[in-house]
Amino acid sequence: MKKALLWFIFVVLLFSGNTVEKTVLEDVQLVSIYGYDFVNKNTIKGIISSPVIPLVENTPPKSTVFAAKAHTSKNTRQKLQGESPEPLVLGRLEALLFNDKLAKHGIMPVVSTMSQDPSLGRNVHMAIVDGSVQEMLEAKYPVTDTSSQYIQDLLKHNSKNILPRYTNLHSFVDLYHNVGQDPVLPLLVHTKDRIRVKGIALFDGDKYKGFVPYADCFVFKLLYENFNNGMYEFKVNGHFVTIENLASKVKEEFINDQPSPKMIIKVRIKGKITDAPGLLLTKKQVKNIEDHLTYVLSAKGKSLVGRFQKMNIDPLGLVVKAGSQDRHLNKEKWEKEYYRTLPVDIKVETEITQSGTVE
Amino acid sequence: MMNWFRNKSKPSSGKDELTLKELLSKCRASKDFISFEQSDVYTVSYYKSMVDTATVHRDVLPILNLDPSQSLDYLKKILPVESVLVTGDITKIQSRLLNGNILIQKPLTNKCLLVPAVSKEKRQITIPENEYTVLGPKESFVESLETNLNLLRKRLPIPELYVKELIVGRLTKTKVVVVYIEGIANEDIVNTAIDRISNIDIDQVIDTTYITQMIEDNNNSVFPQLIETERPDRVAGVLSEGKIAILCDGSPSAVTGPTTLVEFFSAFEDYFLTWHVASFFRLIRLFAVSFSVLSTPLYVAVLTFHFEMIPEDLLYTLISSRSGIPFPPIIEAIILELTIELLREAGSRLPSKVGQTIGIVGGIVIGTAAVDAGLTSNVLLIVVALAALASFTTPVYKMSNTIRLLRFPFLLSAQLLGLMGIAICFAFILVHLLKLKSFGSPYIGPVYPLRLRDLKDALFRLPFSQQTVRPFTVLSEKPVRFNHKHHAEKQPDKDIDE
Amino acid sequence: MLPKPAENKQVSAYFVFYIISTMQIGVGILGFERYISRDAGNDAWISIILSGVSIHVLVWIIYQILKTGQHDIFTIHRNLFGKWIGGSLNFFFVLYMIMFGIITLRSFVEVIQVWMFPDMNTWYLSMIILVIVYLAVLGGFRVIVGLSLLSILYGLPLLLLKWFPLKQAHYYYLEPIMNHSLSDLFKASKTMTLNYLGFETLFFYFPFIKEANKSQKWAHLGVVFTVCIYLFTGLVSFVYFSKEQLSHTIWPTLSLWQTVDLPFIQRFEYFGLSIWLFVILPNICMHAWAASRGLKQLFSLKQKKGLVLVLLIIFIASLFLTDRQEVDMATTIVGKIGFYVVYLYIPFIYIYQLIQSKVRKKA
Repeated sequence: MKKALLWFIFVVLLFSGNTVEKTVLEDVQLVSIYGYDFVNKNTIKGIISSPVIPLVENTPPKSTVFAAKAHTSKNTRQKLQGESPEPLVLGRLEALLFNDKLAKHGIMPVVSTMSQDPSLGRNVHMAIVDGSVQEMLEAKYPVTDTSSQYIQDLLKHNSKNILPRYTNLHSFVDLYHNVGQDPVLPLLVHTKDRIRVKGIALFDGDKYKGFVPYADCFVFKLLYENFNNGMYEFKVNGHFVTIENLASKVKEEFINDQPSPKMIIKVRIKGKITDAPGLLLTKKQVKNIEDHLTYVLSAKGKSLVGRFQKMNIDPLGLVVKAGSQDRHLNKEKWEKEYYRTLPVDIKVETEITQSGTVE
Repeated sequence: MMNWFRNKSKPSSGKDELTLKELLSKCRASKDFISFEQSDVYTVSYYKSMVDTATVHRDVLPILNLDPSQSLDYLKKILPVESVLVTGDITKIQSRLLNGNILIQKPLTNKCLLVPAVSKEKRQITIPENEYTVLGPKESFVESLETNLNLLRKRLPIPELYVKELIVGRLTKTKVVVVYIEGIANEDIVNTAIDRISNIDIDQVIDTTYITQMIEDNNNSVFPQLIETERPDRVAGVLSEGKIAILCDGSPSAVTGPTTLVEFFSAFEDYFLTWHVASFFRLIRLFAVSFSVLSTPLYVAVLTFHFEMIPEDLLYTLISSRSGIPFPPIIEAIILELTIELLREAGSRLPSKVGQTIGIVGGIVIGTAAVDAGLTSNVLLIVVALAALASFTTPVYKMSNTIRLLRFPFLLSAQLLGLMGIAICFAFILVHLLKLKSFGSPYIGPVYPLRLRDLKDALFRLPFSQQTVRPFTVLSEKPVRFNHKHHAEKQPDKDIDE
Repeated sequence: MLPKPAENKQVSAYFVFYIISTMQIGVGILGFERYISRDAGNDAWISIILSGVSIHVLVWIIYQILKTGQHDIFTIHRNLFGKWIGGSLNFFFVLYMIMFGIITLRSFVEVIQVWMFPDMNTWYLSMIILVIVYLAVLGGFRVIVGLSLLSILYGLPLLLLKWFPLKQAHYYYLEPIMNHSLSDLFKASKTMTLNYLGFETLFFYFPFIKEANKSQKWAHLGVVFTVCIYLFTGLVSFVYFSKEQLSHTIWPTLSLWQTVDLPFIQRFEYFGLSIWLFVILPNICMHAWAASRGLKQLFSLKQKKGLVLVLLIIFIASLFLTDRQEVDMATTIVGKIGFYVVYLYIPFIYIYQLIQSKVRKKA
């Protein structure tokens, strides 16, 4: 009897003490994209794109855009809540966009509040928008139902070819904090009814400094990480040749010979000729193409690295990699003092496999 | 308090002694009791309803007519019927009379002759209905204990097959037998079973399930701790594993034990199939069980608390199916689950042909109508229907009931704390299962205590050549079943094309 | 003095493996990387191994003590130090176990409050977990061992999820190896020790092991297993997070679970945390069991009643730790006590016992 009474009390407490807030799926307004626009130095505009699922089945989802101006990012969210029919939740946030003007002033205040929110995942895409985020989100695109879907898919598949593989919340915060490497993000641009990758946005800390144009993204990715996709077009004796990257590997070698330390970036690329109009692919010719490719890639690479050094940014993480090979290296000091003048050599090894489709 | 059946004192055998006369006058109150004089000397009395009249006319009456002066002992010798008894013990007379014996009295003696002439009304042996298998034997137990024992002895023709009889039930006086193989079954387990059965104090035993409920280690548990089966081949199989079986007169099912939880999910047909297929089916069944118990609670938990977990593409499907439904997920789920239970219950109470119609009508008509009316989402309808289907893959009927019942506490806890609630509910059940025993053997079998050897016939069913030892749970007196090595040596390792 | 437990209450020697590793893995593993990388950076994995080695030495010492005493620590204390000093030491050990119970429970509830249900009351989840603990401990030591075994079975598949963060790993974060000084490594090892605590519960359940003297190899294997798990967990975090970001991440393991991206499930932390209940359950059960057994020994209180008392203390104490700072502080204090107990007190008893047995032999 006493036992039964105790169990009864337990069950009563179980039901009465439950104060957990329920977030039933259809009673929340999901946010799929959160963007920020620059208004003026003290004011930002928060824009969210939220999917609207139509009641009728088998009709495509639509998305709606809310926007609000405020001084801090938290405050924009507060103001946006005032417009939304259901409470806004960030749990399914897919992408975080920043206007380029805003990014010039630093995005870390926004990003750090986001990364501290346990309801957000680690895999939220991030990108910089050349132009207004609001316009990009509000525009109608014939290719997909919603703008948010478009942006996600675009970022996802391009990260295999030309963009760095991971440009998400985690990697941005990680590289931002990491001494001796600066983060990079994709740069998107909005034209009438399309969104295009414009290049790779370069950062100094959390401040947007410039970008690698689309044409050079392939070379950047070669220097940035190992990958096995992407195409590259270059000129051989007046003819255009396109090669497809089958596998590329990059390795940095740091030679700390005082007084003149040196960095060698070794790139090995295995490629396949996919298009070479007007060229007869003899063995000799292929060798010639290989040599050209080697030359073009190392020249392009050198000019990219030179530009980074001039801008005093380190998207390739050369200082981190030097630090990982030399245990006495002071990364802070190097980043500040030596990086700009560090001689960087790029050695490219190319191997072109003859493929069947072009003769 | 749990064991109140067992703790009560034994039924008192010393009830008020009747005299033979009083007994007979009591019996005469019934219409089917017949008493008449034969050859002017003998008084013959019996229950017409219990006695095979052919025996009376063919074997008993002619002998009585031969020589009326003979003593009862002489009659006992010449009667062509076995186990004839001459006694004056009134309790014996009463029980025999009521079990279809003919009572023959002679004046001036207080002893009387009891001639068994039981009329055996019984059902034909039919094919098993609840545990039907495509392959394998198709006999099932019937209500007659003797027939059932016959079915068992045919399969295990060894003298070590012991049958211990006990009588249970103040009113029903049911014969309950404990069957085991001496030298293989653990003696302690046999004694435990016999003790528990003889400690039962109850007025009626209608079926073996009565016995099961009263001898289970914890009869407050939702989990059945003994397996009931209607297949004599299954009983013979588990007997040779070293388990014991309990049969009871008037019941077409046998109880076997000790068991483990995984045994409830192994169909006997697993042993008739090749081991790959059987193992695959077992895994499927285990998956089905977890699906059946957890799918609806997971639906409720995820939709109520953790929408972040749903991948985006699935998310839109879920939202569009949920939108416009007036109830929160928990109410929706409970309504649908109860509907399914209702259909099942209605289907099983009705005659089989009507029942089928109800199933189809209910399933299709009510389901689609509920979705059309916007009362439930079609995603949940699929989930619930699949879960119901999955619960029927459990081969043991009692366990599949348990599984369906378990869903409801899980549903409630999912509503309270989402996934954490499901984990908590699971923890409660796990602690309960860890404490549970079947005839003193740990219930969650080869998992804890971990017996890798026994896993060969638990989650999987490996080939018979691997099953050389009896399961550890039964604590067999003779753990080795057969010696497979001897057989294996005969075949040398042959090279290709040799 | 309690009699030796009956044989059917004992468990086989190999279960020591599961008990030891379950006791060592608790809430700590969700966030230990941050603390050790603070001192040793990318070399923190060396500290994981170093302090693991020291645990082996301690396990060896514990076995020497127990083999000589042939009973649990309560009885050994009494035999060594007499009724009053031994008794007060026993009382301290009861408190020690209760403290660990409080910390384990409260930090788990804390994690749940941060990651799953920010608006859940502390008492609510504590109550539910303690009711489960009560039911489990009522079943006796065997049930606790069963929970330990199952917690390993449930917990191990979670390691597979490390595959997702490994896709995004930077292996050069680990290089260069050994760029930290030995003193840094030792400092990190000291911090790491706190995560390995729990093996000392061996003192309490030793009499419940069948052929307990032979179980030593299983205890060592258990420690090796734990070290491997910590090492693997640590390494994945060290290649996924840069040192600087790790210092900002309170629960790296949970952040790593967030990266899970499967077609039917994403954001695994909700799932993982729910499964984590089974990892901490045997911990609290063991602490409550050991403490209530100690009470039985000390005050000849029925263990059922002692258990209720212990659970009530744990429950009330966990309510007094209201926020993250207080939980953190309590963890640090208990960790320090634990550190001194295992590194100073255990060798002390060992030496004391050695001397006493020598003296007795002479006498």
